[in-house]
Amino acid sequence: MIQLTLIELFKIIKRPRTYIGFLAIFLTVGAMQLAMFYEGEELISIAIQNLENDFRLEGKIINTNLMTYILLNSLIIHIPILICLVTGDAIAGEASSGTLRLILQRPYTRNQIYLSKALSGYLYTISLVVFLALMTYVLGYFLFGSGDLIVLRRGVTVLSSNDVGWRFFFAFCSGTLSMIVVASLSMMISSFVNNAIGPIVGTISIIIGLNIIFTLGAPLFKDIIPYVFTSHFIKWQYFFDFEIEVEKLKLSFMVQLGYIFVFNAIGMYNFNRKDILS
Amino acid sequence: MKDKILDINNLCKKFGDFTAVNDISLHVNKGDIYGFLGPNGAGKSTTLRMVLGLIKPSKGEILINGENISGSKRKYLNSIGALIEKPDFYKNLSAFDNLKILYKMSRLKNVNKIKDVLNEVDLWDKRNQKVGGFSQGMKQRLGIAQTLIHDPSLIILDEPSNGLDPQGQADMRSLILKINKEMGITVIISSHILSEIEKISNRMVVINNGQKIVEGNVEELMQNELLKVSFKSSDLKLIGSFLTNKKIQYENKNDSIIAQINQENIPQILKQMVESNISISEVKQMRTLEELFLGLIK
Repeated sequence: MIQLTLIELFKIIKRPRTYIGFLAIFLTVGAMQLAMFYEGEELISIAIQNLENDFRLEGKIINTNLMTYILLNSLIIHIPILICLVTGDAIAGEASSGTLRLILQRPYTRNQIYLSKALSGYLYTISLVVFLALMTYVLGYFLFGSGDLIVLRRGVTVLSSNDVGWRFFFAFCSGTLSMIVVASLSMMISSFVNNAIGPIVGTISIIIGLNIIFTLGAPLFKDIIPYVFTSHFIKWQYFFDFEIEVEKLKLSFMVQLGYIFVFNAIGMYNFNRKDILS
Repeated sequence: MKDKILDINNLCKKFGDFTAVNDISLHVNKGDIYGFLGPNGAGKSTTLRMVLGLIKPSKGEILINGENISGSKRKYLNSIGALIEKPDFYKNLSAFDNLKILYKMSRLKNVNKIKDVLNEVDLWDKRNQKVGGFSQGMKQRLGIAQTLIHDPSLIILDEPSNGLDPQGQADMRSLILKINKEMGITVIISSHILSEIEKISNRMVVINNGQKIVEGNVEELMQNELLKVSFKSSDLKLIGSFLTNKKIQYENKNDSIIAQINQENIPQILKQMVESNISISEVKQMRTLEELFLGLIK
């Protein structure tokens, strides 16, 4: 399995589309940080106008912590697209290019091949989130410096700069888990189709569709929303509450692990039954 | 009796209502160059893909070296090298890197073997070139190289001459003969270029519409066919009764009658038919594999 995973990683590293994700994060994060550097004060003053009526705010509101917090929101749509570029291609791309039949002629079971592709996809996903974290935090620190974090969620929470490091660590871990769910979903779709576009379009359509339902908060879906995987994409925000709701985070963790298991189980089942006709 | 390297028994494959392979049984002996003949859509590729585990059979069994592949956990694939339909590789990788991936996937460690096989197919000088820039002939040779990389005892080549010019086809034949004679590897070659099979195979099978038509030694099949004469006429019944009177075996095939006649007797038989006022529009002695093939699949 290790050998197979290393081979899959080698293929990912050698594929040009792998670097689209890193380039996109570099450009997006860079552009947003520069925009905030030049026009951030104005934007933030609009956002906290009401707050300033009641509180006296001192120090640098725009700092690397706030920038990292803002950019973590890209986990909802933008990062999933970049993940699908690679994980969605894992099986479907190889099926359309004909290399799938080449690797399936080797003495590994289809389960082993599927799992090695999933593992290498997860490593790519982790590296993408780590890159996002480094880009936002390091570039933010260079441009804005450090400072306390003001979070406008369920009221106002001000977190000391000394108190946010571990929160960001767990927030990124939570975000990574959500992105692994996305990678598993696109891998599963990838096992059903023979072109590389299908898994990308399919995964993003599902995420956007579920996000719309989740955002609308229609009473009809109220009871199922906690079990819809997209509703957990923002659970990282819980780490920025004063009193962290551990039970809710545990449930979120379990639900997402469940989705990873189910998506992989369906993907492997289908991949095992699949006739390679391409 | 020769050892069988591949034994296929009552193999079937259905895609929904369509039966692609229908109760095919055949066997390949060690050391054979085994021709797999059939028109497009006959079920050749489906059969070969089932041998490689790419397609799951609906029924039947496949034995490699006497071992049923359905319970072998794919270990048997280390004894088979295959090039199915066209040589597809990772276009963004070099020839060397492509082979390295496949070599490692064969659970082998001595990468010197990659050099050996690239030399064998005359591609060592191009090892660092990306496969995306390869010509069809080079890809085909690289395809052969990847079949050899793990020292298999059986190689399956599905239409290996597809897209090659006449020189490329001749080179491919030489390479296949070299693999078989010098390396002692059994080769299964499927092709619609019938002369290719005729030139290099010692045994063959003809399949059509998913069914086996005939299997046997190429030379014997050819010799048998030398005795077959095809007659076409507006009145086939008259020819039939004439042949029955002469106690000559024959069979009806669509718009013709195929009779088994000793080659020396053919002029005499024809003379007698004319004297009996039997009008014959065409008389043809079936001599080539192509004619045999076309006759069989009608």
